[in-house]
Amino acid sequence: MRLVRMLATLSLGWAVGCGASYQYAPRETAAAPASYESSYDESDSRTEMISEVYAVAAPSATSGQDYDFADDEAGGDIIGRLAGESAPPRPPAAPPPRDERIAQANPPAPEGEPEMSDAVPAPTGPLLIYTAELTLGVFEVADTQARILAGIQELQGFLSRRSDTLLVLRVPAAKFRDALALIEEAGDVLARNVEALDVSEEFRDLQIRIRNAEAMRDRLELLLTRADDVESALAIERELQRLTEYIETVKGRQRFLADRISLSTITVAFRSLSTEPAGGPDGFVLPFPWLDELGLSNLMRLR
Amino acid sequence: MIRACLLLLALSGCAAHFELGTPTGFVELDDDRSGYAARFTTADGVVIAVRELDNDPEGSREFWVEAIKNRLRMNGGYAFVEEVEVTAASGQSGTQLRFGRDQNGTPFTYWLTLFVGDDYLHIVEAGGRTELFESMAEQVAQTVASITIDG
Repeated sequence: MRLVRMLATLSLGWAVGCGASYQYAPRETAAAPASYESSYDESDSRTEMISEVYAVAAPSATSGQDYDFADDEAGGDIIGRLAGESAPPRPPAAPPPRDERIAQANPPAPEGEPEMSDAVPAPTGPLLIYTAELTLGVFEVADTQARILAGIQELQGFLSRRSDTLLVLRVPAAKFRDALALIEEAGDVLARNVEALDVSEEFRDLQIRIRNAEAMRDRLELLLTRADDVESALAIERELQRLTEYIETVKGRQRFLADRISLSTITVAFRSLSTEPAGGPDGFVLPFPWLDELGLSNLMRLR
Repeated sequence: MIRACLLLLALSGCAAHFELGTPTGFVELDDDRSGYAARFTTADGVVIAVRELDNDPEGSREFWVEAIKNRLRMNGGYAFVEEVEVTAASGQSGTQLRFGRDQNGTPFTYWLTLFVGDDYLHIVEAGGRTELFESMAEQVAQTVASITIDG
């Protein structure tokens, strides 16, 4: 029973540590709610157990027990950089305002150029997801698409989606500006929307959540080895399962962000330019109307 | 009454300066308003037709061949296949331009043969679905060559 009480307290402490977005909901089981209420009422015990929980979780947040993202391919670099970033203890002084940090990491671009860095941001700078949407007026859509694709491949980018009038391209963030220049040279830019979304806070928040949740999971596993009855073991395993699902969800979100950070997305919509020529296909029209009547259309119109 | 008949003959194109018999397997269409001096079709839509136009302004065969070729290739969506020299039954030399065109995924064949005289241009057009046209290509070529042009 003490184990179940510890479990409830542990879960409460973990929910507090993981932030407001995660709410602990007592399980509707025969034993757990009672145990939960019991532990909740024993304020001394609860305080003690929460302290115990933080004794496990806190070091991981500051001492470099980082999540190993060796399995991640797309976002491995970025996650790895962040892992390095979080290794040293937090500085005692408050960090500079967010805008100031962004400004330091990304000095303003020269006048007339969009504000974007040439490389993936340094670990101390903001983590940005670059996206662009362009509408190009072109003469021969298929040929233009082929030229753009060839150029994007040279920049180590790749095609994500293609239709007759649309290309969705992914390029390394470091090549984002080069890719934009390449695309803009391919046609008449009718519309342009470039965005750099700062996901630094969300990314770091996810990382902390993962660390705390994993510390909690380790603690629960330890409790599981001490379970002295089936009821307690089942309650702990339910919590473990819930925690594992939560960790996977957060990791999935982190992987998604890492992918978006490392590979920028460029959507190019193509619009054929007006086919109305100056005078004709070659700039002239012969003054013989019967030429326009030649062809199968009239020949085979038998009614 | 005679004047009315002459006027009717002139309006109906009966004063054409060529003769072309109805090919075997074709019927002649009576379509005065189509712009053709004569037109023939098979039951499955292989069509042969003749236009007679004033050679005004007077141009050489090379000029008209290029004008027609440009028009069909650049603005008509036709793929130029080949150019063949032909001779009319009356002895005039002509140029046959052979084109292809896809329409809704179906290939079509279009031959245009041009005879240039001092006063008139005679254009013999022939076309249809390639699948059908190819089986009649020889007959079409013979029909084109059977034209008799006055002057």
